[in-house]
Amino acid sequence: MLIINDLHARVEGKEILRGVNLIVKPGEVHAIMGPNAAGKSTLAKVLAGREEYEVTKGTVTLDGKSLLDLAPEERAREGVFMSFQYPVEIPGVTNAYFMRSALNALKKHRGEPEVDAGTFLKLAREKMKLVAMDEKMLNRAVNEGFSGGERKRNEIFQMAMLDPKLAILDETDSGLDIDALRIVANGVNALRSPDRALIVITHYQRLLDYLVPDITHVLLDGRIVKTAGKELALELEQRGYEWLQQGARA
Amino acid sequence: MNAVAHYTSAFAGSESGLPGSAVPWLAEKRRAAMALLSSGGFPTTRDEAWRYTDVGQLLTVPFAPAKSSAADRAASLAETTGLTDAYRLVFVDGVYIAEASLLAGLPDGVVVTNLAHALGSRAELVRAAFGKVVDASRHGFAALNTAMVSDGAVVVVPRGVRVDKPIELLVIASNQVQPVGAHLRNLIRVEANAEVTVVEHYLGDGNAVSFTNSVTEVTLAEGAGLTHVKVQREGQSAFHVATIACEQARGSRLYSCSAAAGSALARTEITSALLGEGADAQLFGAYVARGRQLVDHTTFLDHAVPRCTSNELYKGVLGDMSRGVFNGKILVRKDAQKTAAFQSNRNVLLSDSAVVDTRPQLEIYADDVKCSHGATIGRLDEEALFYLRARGIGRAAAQRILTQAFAGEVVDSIVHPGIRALVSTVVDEALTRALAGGVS
Repeated sequence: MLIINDLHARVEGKEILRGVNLIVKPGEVHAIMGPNAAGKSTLAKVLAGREEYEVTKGTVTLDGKSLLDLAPEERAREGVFMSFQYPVEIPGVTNAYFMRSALNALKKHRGEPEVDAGTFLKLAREKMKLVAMDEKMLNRAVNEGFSGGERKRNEIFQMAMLDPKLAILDETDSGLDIDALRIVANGVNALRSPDRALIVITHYQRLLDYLVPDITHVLLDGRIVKTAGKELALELEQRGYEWLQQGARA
Repeated sequence: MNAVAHYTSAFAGSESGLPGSAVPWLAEKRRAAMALLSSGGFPTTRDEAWRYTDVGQLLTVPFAPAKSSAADRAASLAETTGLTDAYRLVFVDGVYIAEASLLAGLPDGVVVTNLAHALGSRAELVRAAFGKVVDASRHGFAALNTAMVSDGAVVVVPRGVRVDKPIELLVIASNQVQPVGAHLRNLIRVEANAEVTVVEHYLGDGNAVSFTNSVTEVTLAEGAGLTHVKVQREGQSAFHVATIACEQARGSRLYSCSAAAGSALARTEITSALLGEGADAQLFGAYVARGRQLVDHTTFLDHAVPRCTSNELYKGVLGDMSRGVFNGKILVRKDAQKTAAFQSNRNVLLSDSAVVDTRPQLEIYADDVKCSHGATIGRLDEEALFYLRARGIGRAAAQRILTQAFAGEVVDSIVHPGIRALVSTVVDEALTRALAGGVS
């Protein structure tokens, strides 16, 4: 599904990704772990199409289609979803209006009829249940005054609405207490499917207790330096990243 | 020929045909105003209140009163563009069109009529109100308006009466070949504890070069309430100068909202003198410009007595090479203790070439007051744009959503659903045009 080949990217002249290779198949859950400044969030933003990040080398394809040539909205329409580490507040725009506009942009792209207000509301109510979100959140301005947990739940709600092929969860656990973490992880688990791939980017092991990966990677200094099964996450929790850092530099 | 000479000769040629030419006090006022204009001229960028608004281009066009009436389209235009369920006075190129107006069913005692008619039927009332709040000496355009006034609206709401529906003044600049200048004078008097909503709706029928120069004088008696909404949506070649001035007695409330959708030049000056304790003025504005348009809001709130409150929020979206101007002055006089006055002007620039000149001014002579003002000029939030786009919403649609939300704070301050819908549509259309860009 997703093939990343020798991806190099920089921001403000500084090279952050230095040759990332990754293959993700449908139905798989990949965890990408690593210390601060390893390039984890950069990878997520490059995949989502954030323009400040300049790709200097490499390719990214989704089902054979090159993503790097596409604008962020085109990637979303092709089925890429990134859950933001810091979801953005948009005063004056309700969650409902935002999501209906997004959903209809996708529908239009697929040549499907747009959803009317009633159909949207029915669908939204159903999807909100996945992350135990109050229906009132639909009429609030996007993320405005939301707690950290509410913001992350709102991200997963959006993912449920947009039904992506590939979801990239960027530090979805940051700023969450254990209850919120469990709700968010359960929501994501409910969205696992044989057709959907997930990339879970995280600094810590604890999210992976609930959201168990098939494959774990360690990203270090802009490269994936180790790939193993779910047990790698536990090992990292115990040993830290130091031993890998030494290995990578050797 | 310079502008003053042009208008002096236009005045000499049309004076005998203007309404009230046989009414001595008005004829005298007109001549005195013309003399003022001759000696004082039009404002220039050397005048403080016009520092950022150059009217030079407007003054090069020899605007004249309409020679022929284009009244035939007025009724259908009013039907398609006016408010539904409102009383209505229609003016085309400065001339009142009775056939297109709707005045049936007004509450007892409420006067809604045109000025030319009221000069006969309500002579004393007009004489008392005309020039009371806006003197011809205010600036050259007020003088020109006084000299050349062709008509306007007269609205009087008697004590304790609440007018059930908005009163719409639909002012149409028709698609004339010759550049038409229209000088309208509106007189609004709201008596004690009465309430009314007046919408000044300026519309261009086509893209002719036109000039609308209107003056609205408002007096609010004790406990009176006025909701005043101004919608300016003339064509891209229109010039528009509006002066709205209010005097407020004790406990009166003014709500004003001005929406400007972009013309060659559109200046709206709104002032209120808070003369009785507990008076409140709420001023809102939303403006959008593109191409080389200029849109100016100039406000002046005079807190003359204790315990009055005022609040201002003006928001602008400027595209291409357009200019936005905000001059907001609040004067708190020595006796005006316990004043609360807040003012905010926020602008979003859509291009590197758009310019905003914003000048909030507080002049405070009392010591026990709460006042603040602020101005911001920024770009659309890139983070928010990316967030919307990352969910599949196209760049243009995302920009529209964000600018609509930005202006929405002003639009949503309008309580009446029909008026809110009208303003919302006008602003949204203007935003769509500004985001598309490229119109000179």
